[in-house]
Amino acid sequence: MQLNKFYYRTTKKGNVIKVVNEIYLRDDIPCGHEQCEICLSKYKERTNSEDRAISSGEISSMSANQIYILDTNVILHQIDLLEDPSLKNIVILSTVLNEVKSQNRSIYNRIKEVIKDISRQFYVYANEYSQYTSITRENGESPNDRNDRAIRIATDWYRSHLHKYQVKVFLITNDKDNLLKSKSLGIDGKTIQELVFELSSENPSLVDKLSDPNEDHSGELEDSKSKIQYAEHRPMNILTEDIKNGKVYQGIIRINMNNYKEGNVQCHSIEKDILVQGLENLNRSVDGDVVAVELLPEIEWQAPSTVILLENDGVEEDDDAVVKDSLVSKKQPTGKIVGIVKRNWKPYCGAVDFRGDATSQGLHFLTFVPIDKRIPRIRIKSRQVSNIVGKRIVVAIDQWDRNSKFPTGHFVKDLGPLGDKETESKVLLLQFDIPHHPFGASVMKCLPKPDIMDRVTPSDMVGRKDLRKECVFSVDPPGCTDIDDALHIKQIGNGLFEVGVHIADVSHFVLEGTAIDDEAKSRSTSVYLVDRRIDMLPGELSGNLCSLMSNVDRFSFSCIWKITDQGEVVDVEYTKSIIRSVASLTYEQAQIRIDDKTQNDQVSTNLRHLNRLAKVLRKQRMDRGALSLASPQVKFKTEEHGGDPSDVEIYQLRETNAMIEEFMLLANIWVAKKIHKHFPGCALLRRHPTPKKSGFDLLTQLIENKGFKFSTASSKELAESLDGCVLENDSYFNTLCRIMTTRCMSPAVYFSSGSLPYEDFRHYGLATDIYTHFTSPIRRYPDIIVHRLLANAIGMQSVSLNLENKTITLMSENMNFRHKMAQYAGRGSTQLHTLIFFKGKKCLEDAYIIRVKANAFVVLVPRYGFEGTVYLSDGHNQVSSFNYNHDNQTLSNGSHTFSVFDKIKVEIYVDDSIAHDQKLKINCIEPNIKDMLLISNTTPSQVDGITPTQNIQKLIKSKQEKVRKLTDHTEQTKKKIKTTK
Amino acid sequence: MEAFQKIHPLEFYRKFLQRSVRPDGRSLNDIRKTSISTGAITTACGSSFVKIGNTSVICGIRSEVGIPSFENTDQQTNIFVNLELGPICSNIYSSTKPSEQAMSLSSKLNSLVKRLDIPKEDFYFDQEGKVLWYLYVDIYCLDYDGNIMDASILALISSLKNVKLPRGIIENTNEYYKDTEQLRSLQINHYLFPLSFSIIEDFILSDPSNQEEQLSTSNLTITLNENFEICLLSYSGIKPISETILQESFEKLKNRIEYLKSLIDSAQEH
Amino acid sequence: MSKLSYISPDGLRVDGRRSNEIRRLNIKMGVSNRADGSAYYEQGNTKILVTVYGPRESVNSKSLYDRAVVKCEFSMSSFSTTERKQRQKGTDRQATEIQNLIKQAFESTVHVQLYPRSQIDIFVQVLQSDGGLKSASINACTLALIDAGISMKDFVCACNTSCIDGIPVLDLNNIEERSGGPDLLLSINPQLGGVISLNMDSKVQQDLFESVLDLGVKGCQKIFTILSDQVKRYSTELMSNQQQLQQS
Repeated sequence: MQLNKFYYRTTKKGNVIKVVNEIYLRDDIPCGHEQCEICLSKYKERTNSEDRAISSGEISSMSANQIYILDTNVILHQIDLLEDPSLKNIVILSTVLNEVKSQNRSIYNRIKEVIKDISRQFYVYANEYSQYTSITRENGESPNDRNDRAIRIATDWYRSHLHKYQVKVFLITNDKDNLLKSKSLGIDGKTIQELVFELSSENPSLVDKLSDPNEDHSGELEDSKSKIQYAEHRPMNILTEDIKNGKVYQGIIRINMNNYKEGNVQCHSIEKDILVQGLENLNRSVDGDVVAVELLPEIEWQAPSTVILLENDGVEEDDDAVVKDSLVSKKQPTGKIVGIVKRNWKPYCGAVDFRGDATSQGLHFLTFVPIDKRIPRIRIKSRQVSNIVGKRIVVAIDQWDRNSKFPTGHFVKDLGPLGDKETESKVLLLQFDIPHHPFGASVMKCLPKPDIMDRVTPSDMVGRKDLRKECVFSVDPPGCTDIDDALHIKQIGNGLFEVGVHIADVSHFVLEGTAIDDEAKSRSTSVYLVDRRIDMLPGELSGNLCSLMSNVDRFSFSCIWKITDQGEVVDVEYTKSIIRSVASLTYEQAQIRIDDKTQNDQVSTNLRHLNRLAKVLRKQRMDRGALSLASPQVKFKTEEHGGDPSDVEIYQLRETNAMIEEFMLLANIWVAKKIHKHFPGCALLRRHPTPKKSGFDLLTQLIENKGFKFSTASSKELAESLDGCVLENDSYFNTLCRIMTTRCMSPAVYFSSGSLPYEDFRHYGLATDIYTHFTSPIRRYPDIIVHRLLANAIGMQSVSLNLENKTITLMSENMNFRHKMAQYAGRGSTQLHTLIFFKGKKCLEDAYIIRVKANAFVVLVPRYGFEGTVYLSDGHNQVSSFNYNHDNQTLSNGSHTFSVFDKIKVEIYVDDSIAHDQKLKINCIEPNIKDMLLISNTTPSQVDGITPTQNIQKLIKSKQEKVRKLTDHTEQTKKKIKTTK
Repeated sequence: MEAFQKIHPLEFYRKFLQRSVRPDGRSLNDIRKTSISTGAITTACGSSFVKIGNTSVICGIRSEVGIPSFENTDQQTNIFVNLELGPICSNIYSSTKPSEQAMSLSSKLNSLVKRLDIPKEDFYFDQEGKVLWYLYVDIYCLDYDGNIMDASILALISSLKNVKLPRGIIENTNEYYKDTEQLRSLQINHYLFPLSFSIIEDFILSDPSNQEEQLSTSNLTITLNENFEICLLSYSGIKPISETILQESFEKLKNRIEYLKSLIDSAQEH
Repeated sequence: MSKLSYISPDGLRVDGRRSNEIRRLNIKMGVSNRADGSAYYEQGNTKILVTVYGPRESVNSKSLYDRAVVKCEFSMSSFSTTERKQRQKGTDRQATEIQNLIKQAFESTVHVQLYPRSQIDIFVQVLQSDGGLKSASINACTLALIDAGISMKDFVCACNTSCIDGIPVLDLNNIEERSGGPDLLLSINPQLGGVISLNMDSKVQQDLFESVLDLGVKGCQKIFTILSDQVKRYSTELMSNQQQLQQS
């Protein structure tokens, strides 16, 4: 039986066309209930086992004698509730699933995850394709009404279909009209609230997860004491109109990391970001929302604040206490938010701030403090205070009313006790959206047998070079189990060396399009936390079959050069190979072998050859202008595996590290050349954009203040300048300069060669025209793609379908995102361990000032490799007695001036006064700020020899001056805006 | 007998006609079996399939929106008719050059459309008529066995009655949003009832077949609406037509009108 | 824009079919009186009329002394797709491609040497198009040629297959054709077992290609069963009509 569905739609060209789709209605779609054999036998009869395998054969079926059919609004509003495993036996109609998909992508993805989980017994019934339940829209019926009717019809069918098995069917909907209409059909309808209250006797936590978007919040208002009243959001249709007319601008709001009362809106139509200051102007927008912003008159434009707000202290704080110091930095277009185009609310990790009796029963209103400082506090209700106080929990925002200072939300998930290492690590993974679930069964199915390398078949060897006779070895950090690179070198006469870099042949096992490939693609990288590693590939591959361990046969992808002893490459060969490593060395062991002249075995001599060659290559690279940068990396020592950190050590770099790095760079560059030659339009490469000169302005000035010449005209000059920055009495100064230079540059990114002109391929830091990642396929997905590209280029693998500029570009976007998140998580983990390390300790350490703000400065503690903020006031809204000089980045109070690069002594301890937000406190001990503050507080009138009134007058005067200057400036910006429009 | 028909077709016909019968068994006034169906082409916004004896035509209407030019709005038409006589329907037509017959028939059909008095408002895309629907009617002959005119006119009127259009709204210029909840039909106030004749010597043959058309000296097509008003009268031939013949022909068509009306109406019911 | 999901988790395609199902076929033979052979062919919403004239004397000098020439003309009705196309006769690439495809397919299958110095004209008129035009045209031509009583070695059955989200699917409709997957057109002589044409205009991995091809062969066989049933039914109908005529 078939049926035509048609509708009209508007094309891009503005034509209205008729779309006709043919639909086949089936009678063999199973109802999904275990007891119903009629459906099952019909289904088995019509499909062969092969097809059932396609439809994954792992579809949940329902078993209970009460099943629930959900309406769309229930899924859209109650997704957190639905993720609770105690809800089972639910039918999701395809009508509903499509509606969810079109309305909210992320909820759609979440409900799909739930459906995939067999234990949850969520069944998708394709009601639109069933001849029993399919309907066509009647003339005059709105699509919404039609879908509601489809849901009712399907429910009715289920009811009569399962009647003979005594299975009761309920329609769960919060749509009153739908409920009423279904009752008249004789369907048992319920609201989700009714259902949850029924189930809550067994599972009280369900109630908390219930989201109540329609509930009246007037009762709560009185608690919150705040009289804040936000402006009304303009409705969507007016917004679209206004955006089109250019009255308002659309963009994504990014709240300032250091100041939650300030945000920037990035718009396409305006060159500069639009600044939004103050909660009222932010008007209930949350970081990441797509907002509509209206510009304020230019006279009201502000400069971004340079203040670090101490604490997101919400209720107690005075409203709009935005500390303004617009005198010092440039004003920028400022606006207020008039509407929200699209919310981007996510579940947020955090804890509740609760100071009452945690054992009390009954309903409580709690304030939830997210970890992410950019997110406002969220008000939640709970009946189980004792269960969530002192815990890390996840909360989702439901809504934000005009007259409520903070949004309201509901409890989603409990992650574990506060401050617990396990819990906090989990929080990090959630916060940075790192996929860390165990590998699924479908992924594990893709794994080869563990003994596959013992039974290498001739078909595996096709096109593979047998290099098992070569003296191949690997050098890695101690304890490394996923060895993805190994080397060999031999002299071949005429002053030539043959050097081979052998990389684990991961793409041999991870075939494109398989479940394991999809999983790796979505993870994109292994994530290294201090105490754990989240693998990109299952351990069997990463730690065994792919790992190039010694004395076993392993598949590899080799890049073999013939190099003169002057480091000149005369020939290169790319080939798949099989190798047998003779030794897995650590950097330390290798270094000892090189240094110990008595060792003259083959491995040691080869190491020396490699080392010498590496030095030549390195020199060439440096001459081209490669930068050697630094990061304040440290390593935690733990007493036992998984234990708390007991000490910190600076990551020690040996000559051998540089040696291995040099050959890896060489391999990456040569592979990049090769794949770009064969796939000029879709090679996956890595570029490091040449930094903008303006980015270095401040640093240049600061370093030049120190008396050094600092040129950033080219990477070569920069490298030379950096080499020159050496202070006799302070060996760390040079490292500091390098660290700060790194921060002035944007990070390197993956991209597809088809999306940029060749000039932009350049890797600035490495000073090479073309670069890619080839050498770590076990822990990076881009390398796997590059391996596939290279295999295609040498004719080993057939060309894959997905090799297009578009797909590679998309892929690289995801890789860049995952890479960034992995770094954030790594840093977060270090911070967490630092916190744990300092618990109960109080240390005195040297520190360097790296940034100065109006009321604080940021210091770096080299010993522990972390940075923190030293506040000049202690949080009680004291007016700082220090004068802030933005241009020179100094803070001074006459007797002492703090400026960047100053070395100071700090005291470090953990402030655990607030249970839900423990953090490291850093106080400046030498020079002692407290004393200075004390002095300055007692004699506030004598700052810089000017009396307060004079000070104010001076302020006003300069402000007027500034305004005058800025009107000129803004006139120009205005013109600019106009022209860019 | 077949040989006789091939070699002396006119003589062959004369022998029949003198006995007031045609070679296919019809009397001079008999009309071949006529059938109309609509809605077969789902991609079109209106369609019909008409069969008169072995002659069959298919007609589809495509709709497009466009901004009207405001000069002489009264003269403007929103419906464009095109008739296609391709090689598929008969070996006498070639695909490379459009036949003159098809072109002259197309222009007749275009003028007929104006007789339908479809209100201007029915073509409004939005409420005010800033943007209008334009309908392109394409008629393809699938099998040619004479009297393409009657088949085309019936196909045209049936498919126009079958048209369903959505109404929409306009936002800014050039951006149309459709509001598909209600599809509407065109308000067609009149019918078109055609009948063609071929005149072979002194015999007047209703609904001529292909061969009859070829032998004829003159051809006559009359189209009336339900009020017996003449919508189209076309005569071509070597002899002037007499008043009586014309009068007789009108009577023949008038007798047929009820039947054609029921055919057109019942085709819409599905 | 949200990406369409072409195959639902429970294995149903956008139009409710499973991956290995072809669309509904509706066939009528002998629909045109004037032509020597004709067939009306519906595959889902793709509707095609084919008429065959011939074998007849070649009108131009291109005739061959030892065999017949097959000519094909393909045209789309303006209302066959939702976007009205401005017709450009002779320059339409798709039409030329299909014309050549049909010409080649049938010159190898018709016993052309039986009709020297003559030509067989095939006219394909698409009334409505919803994907699979090429394969539907070929199938329709087979029926029209049979109706014309032209001697052929075998049927020519065609089917298009693709691979969407890694699953081989049979007989794509318009939406699925736009999924960007590979489009494999296979036409075979189902009884002789030869491949007449195999067209593929996309990169596909070899193992995937094999499964797609395998499905294509199965699809052609399915179509063959339906076509041959139809031909049998049609010829028995003709026979009984003839008998009735003779009796009367």
